[in-house]
Amino acid sequence: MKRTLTGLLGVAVWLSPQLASASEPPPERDHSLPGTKRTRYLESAPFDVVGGGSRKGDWAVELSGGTPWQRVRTQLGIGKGLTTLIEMDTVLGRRFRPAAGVGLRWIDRPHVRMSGELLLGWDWQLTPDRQRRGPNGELRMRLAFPVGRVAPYLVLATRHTLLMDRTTLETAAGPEVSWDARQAWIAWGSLGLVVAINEHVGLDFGIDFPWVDPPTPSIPGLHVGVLFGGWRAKR
Amino acid sequence: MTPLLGRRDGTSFDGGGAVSYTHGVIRTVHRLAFALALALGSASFGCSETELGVVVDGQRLPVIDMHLHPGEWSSIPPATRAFLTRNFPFPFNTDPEGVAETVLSPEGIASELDNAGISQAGLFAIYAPRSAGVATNELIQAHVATKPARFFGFASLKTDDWATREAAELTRLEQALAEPGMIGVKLAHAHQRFRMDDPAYYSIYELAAQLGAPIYLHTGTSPAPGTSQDPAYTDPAYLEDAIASHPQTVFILGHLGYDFINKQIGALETCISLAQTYENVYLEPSALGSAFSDPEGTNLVMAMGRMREAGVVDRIIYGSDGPQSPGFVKGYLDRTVAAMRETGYTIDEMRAVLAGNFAKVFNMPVPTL
Repeated sequence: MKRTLTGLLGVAVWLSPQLASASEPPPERDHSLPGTKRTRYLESAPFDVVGGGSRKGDWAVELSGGTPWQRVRTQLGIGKGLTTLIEMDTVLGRRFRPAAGVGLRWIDRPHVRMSGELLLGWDWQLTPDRQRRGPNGELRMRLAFPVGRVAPYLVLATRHTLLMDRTTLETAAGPEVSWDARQAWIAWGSLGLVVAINEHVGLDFGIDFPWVDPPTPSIPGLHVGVLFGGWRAKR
Repeated sequence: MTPLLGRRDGTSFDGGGAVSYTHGVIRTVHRLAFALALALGSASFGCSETELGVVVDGQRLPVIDMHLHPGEWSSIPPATRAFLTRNFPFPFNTDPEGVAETVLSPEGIASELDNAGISQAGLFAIYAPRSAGVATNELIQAHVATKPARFFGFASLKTDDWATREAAELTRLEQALAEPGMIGVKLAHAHQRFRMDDPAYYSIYELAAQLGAPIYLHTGTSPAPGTSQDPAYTDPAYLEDAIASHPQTVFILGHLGYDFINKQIGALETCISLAQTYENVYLEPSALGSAFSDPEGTNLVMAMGRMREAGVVDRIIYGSDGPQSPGFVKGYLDRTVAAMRETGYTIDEMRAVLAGNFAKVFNMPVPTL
């Protein structure tokens, strides 16, 4: 699975310059234009969330719940295909991960959107039976296929957390404290469908496939989300 | 037991107003998410069955799981809780107490049995406060009383400070075995830290014989922190003197002497040899074939095949060592049935392993389906 993910991300990175240059997106969409039936929702906020990336000035928010994750995500397009991201997710209210990062739209075609995201955050859980905290980084690839109001999508991600283990030995000379670093790895994927109600609001339904702390098995999950957003008026 | 999903880590929701309301909503959302995760967990590790029994070649066979551990999360030592937590599937490992309170309750265990199609199950008491934890005889009796047609109890006793407490502990054991549904004795030399060949404890075997209560013994090493892993506590060869000198006592050798530390076959041949030599020895293949203990999925197959080759199928009693986590009980049954199919067990042999041998040893009827 790790190899597959790494391979997919590698292929995506290799493909991105070729495909991006072949279909350079316009820097900014004029939302005042109604578009055609086929293109009306292409730059809608719901599609921006699942496909990744927003045009300059466009913003979007995701509120999703389910298991194992519940998530709040905001994104704002800053131009040149780049989008700033701020996220907070939690596992059943026990483990939390706030993160910030950037996204880059790699492929931008009417029916194919692909983007990559890099996030840096902090992972923590401070419950009595499980305590962990440490810096966290995540690479993510999003692929969406908008067709009219709906867009099936796929997300693949690899998340790495640096955890420090403290060992305290009570010796005759007093306590001896030592630290060891280890990496916790989470791979996850989502397969879902977003339905745009209008350009501002959409609903997201997805199945999540986590692989957390392998080889311990993980339970697949699902989520339902509300996606909404808007854009800054053109000057 | 604390209420289902009712406890959270010290956060106060008192104070009223919007903040309290918001916290309540968030807590409710998380409870729903957790319940959903439990449902998905059961579904992930096996589809639910409405009928009891396991179907093999078109025939539905009754199943008794002699080895389940109910209990309370708070009665498990912290190091063992941490070990167990690491082996819970994600996302259950983020809320081990919630999972344990759900799965280890009588309702949770019955749900796991329903999911697996298992008719009846043995619930084990244990007194190992420094390793596996404590599940008192009284707790087991209370659980058995909730579903007397479905649960049987195995009583245990404290073996610490034996020189001074022997008589009192034997009396407590006898009283526990006099309670309805209490049918056997559970011992774990490795977890309770007393040698298998120490004659000081033979009085337990003598009492069990007097009361007609078979003894289940943990054999092999254990991944639980605080366990005595030396051969005198884990190798069933050290039991031979007790077995030979107590022919009226039934010894059920749990886990087939498996090496849970290195996840490999341990004293299987010793167990088989003891079963071949002594009529009062039975074998129970629980836990060793789990995804955690047998990641390659070969050891349980090898053990089941080897026991059949050795001609001791009539001594095998099925057990899982569940419930552990949602779906484990069914998953282990599936693995065991698959191992028997792969190694050529006949339907009648499977019928004996899954329920018949237990019924014979404990003088009970085979469950009807």
